[in-house]
Amino acid sequence: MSDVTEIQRIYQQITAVRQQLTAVVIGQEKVVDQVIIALFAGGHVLIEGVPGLGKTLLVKSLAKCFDGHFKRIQFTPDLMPSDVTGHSMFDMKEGKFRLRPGPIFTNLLLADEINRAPAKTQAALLEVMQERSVTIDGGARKVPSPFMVLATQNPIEQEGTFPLPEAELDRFLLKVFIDYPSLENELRFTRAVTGDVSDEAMQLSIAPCITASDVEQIQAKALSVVVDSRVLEYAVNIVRATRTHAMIHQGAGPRASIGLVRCARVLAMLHERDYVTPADIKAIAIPALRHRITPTAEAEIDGHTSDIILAHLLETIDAPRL
Amino acid sequence: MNISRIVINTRPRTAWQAINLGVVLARTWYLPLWLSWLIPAICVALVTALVCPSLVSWLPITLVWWLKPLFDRGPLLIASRRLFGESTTLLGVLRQLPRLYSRDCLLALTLRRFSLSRSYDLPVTILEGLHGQSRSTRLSVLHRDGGGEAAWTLLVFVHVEIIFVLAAFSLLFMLIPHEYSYQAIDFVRREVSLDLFVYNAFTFVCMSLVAPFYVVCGFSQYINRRISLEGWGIELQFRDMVQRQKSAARASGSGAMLLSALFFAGVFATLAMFQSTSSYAAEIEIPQPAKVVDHGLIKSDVQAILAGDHFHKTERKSGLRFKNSQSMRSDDVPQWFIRMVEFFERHSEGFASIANFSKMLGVFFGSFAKVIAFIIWISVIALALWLAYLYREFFRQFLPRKQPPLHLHEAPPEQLFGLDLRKSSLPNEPLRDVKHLLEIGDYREAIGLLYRTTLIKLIADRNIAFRSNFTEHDCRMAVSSACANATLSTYFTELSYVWELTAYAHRPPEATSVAILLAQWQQVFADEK
Repeated sequence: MSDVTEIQRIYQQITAVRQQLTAVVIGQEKVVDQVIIALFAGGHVLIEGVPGLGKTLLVKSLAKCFDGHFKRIQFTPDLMPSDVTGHSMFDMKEGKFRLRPGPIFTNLLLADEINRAPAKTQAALLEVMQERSVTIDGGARKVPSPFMVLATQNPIEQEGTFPLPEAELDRFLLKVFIDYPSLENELRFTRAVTGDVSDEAMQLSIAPCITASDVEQIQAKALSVVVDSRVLEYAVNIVRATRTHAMIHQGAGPRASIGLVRCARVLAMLHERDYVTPADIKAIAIPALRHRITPTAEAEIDGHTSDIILAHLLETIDAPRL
Repeated sequence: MNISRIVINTRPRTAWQAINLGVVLARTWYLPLWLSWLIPAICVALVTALVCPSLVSWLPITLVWWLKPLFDRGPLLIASRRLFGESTTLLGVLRQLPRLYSRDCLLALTLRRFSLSRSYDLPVTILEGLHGQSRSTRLSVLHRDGGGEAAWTLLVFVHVEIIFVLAAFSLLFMLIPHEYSYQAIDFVRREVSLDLFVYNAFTFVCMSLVAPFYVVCGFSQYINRRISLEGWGIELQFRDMVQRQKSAARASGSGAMLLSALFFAGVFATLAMFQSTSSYAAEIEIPQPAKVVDHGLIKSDVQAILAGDHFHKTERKSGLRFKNSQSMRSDDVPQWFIRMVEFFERHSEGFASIANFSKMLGVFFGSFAKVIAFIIWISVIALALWLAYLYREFFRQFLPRKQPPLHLHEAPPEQLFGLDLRKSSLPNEPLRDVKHLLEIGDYREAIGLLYRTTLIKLIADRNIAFRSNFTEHDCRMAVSSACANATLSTYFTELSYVWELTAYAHRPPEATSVAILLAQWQQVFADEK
């Protein structure tokens, strides 16, 4: 099968997933696209938004789309690392230790309100997010593939929260803002849910359109999407510029460049292309970098958010020269 | 006013102690004091609100604030009566209010409205009933001691009022459940008149709550000054003594003799005290108790002293001296001090005397104090400048911002995606060159030249604002938004996709597609002309 035909097939698969999700999570097309990009790029997503915007629905629906397993952990201040990863317990009958796997052993993990747990428990996710394996009682155990963590945090309630450490933030491929839907979309959604179709029924209407192995294939195919050396340089230039920008206290690390290119490759596939353009890099730069930079105190006082600073930064980076 | 019935201890106090006493008195009689202020104020506020409903947001509270010097008179009357043991009823005071309010009303609301010592001066106008020159003279006597504290009293109570208003607002917001706080803020933003009404109501209540304390503190300072000026304590002591001796004399049958003896003893004691505390007392001839036999002579002596210039002369001295110097014996003076004084007397040729030395010491410390004051001022200004610099970003948001220049006025880039966009860089006949490149099979160069020619044409003819950070996608967006011509926009989009495929996918374009684009180019830009 030629590359072009392969890309068309992948495009159809991605489009099918996208259509299923947008039919359920109404009015959040941008969020759906970014979550799909993270899934096929093999990354994790940090979702920030007020409660009640369909974060859980999105993750559940995504799991159903590829017939994957979904688990949810509600992060609380008293949550222990072993509650996430699992633990060994002594079996009196057999006289030996048995592993009781934690909720981390799944395809899609929704870490709800991740910033409510202390740093120790948050750190339990670090290994699995990077290595795709968990160490329990000295033994490393692989988590199922595909594996993706979708963590949420509430932007309003800051009391009793523990800010995520930079090391953990850096492991999230994208940070997605989920905002209130438009009036038209909210009307559509409310009409659908309060009519004869319930929230659960909407989820049930989702039929698996791809398999877990398809997801892995797409992830593998994404690695072969052509990235011209000048486009790669453009991505690296953007990341490096965050380290010298006057309004940024701490810029993004090399993992950001890698993440940016991985996302751009999937975005190209989402547009039925097998090559990355500078526009792909530019389009995904803000969600890929917004959580990896720390604005200066002066910029924050002046009301400049990470998004505003990054938008300004993108205007200062020259497009690739061929 | 019968000072023998005064309900407080008539000892000399500092002005701050007098303010403390005023707070205690206000707390004791708080309800009638508060009502006598509140009732007329609330009447004025209601009448104003009814008469001018359109100005209800600001007029009543402003009027009540402006009329405060009048409203303060009711509590003052009650305090002045109760201080001397007279019973007053609220109704009685309210009946007297028109008479009280009419006294010097115009001056109180105009020239004297912003007086810092209002509550301290008010008894002179209201209780003593003085006007004009006599009032000024009286106030100058009163202000010789305590005027500064009276101003501080006003400043303190103004701040207390403000704190009360802020506290009331904070309490209100704290009582709003957390989940409704956003709706509440939104509601307040929308309902500006309600916001103002709540603010005015809180201000009014806080003004009325604080006013009795302010009035009675000022009155207490006034009374304290009179106690000190007129020696009420001494007078009361004499009256007590006279009272006691009267009863004793009545019992023994020789009251008159003792009474007169006590009177004279009192006068001599007073004069002796006067002599000991005044530098000029030595010049006055003090009658000796042994000579007290003639009432007329004593009376004329007393009248002579009272009429003399010395009695009316006020002199204030300040300087350093030992505490309890009178009780200190010469052998109590430390030897080192005596030696030091002697040393200065011997060796300080520049100092004519120790007095001169003290004067020079005063001058030195005065100059030193000025230097310190200068340094403090410089430090304060430097601190203010430093804080302004530190929070410059915060302050900058209040300054008018310079609008960023429109991108349209920016010079077009000379290079975009590695393509030279200067018009001079194009060959004389670019389309012919494209055709030639196609014929020799150099499709990449051909599409590159065609794309470059198109961009230069768009910049030159259509003034489209391409910028150096624009990707091909941004250029497509710029063309579609700037061009009303859909054909041009569609053509540019197709050309751009072919260029992207060539440049980023490293896939050479098909000869036919480039040829079609070349043919369309001539058509599209011919239409443009």
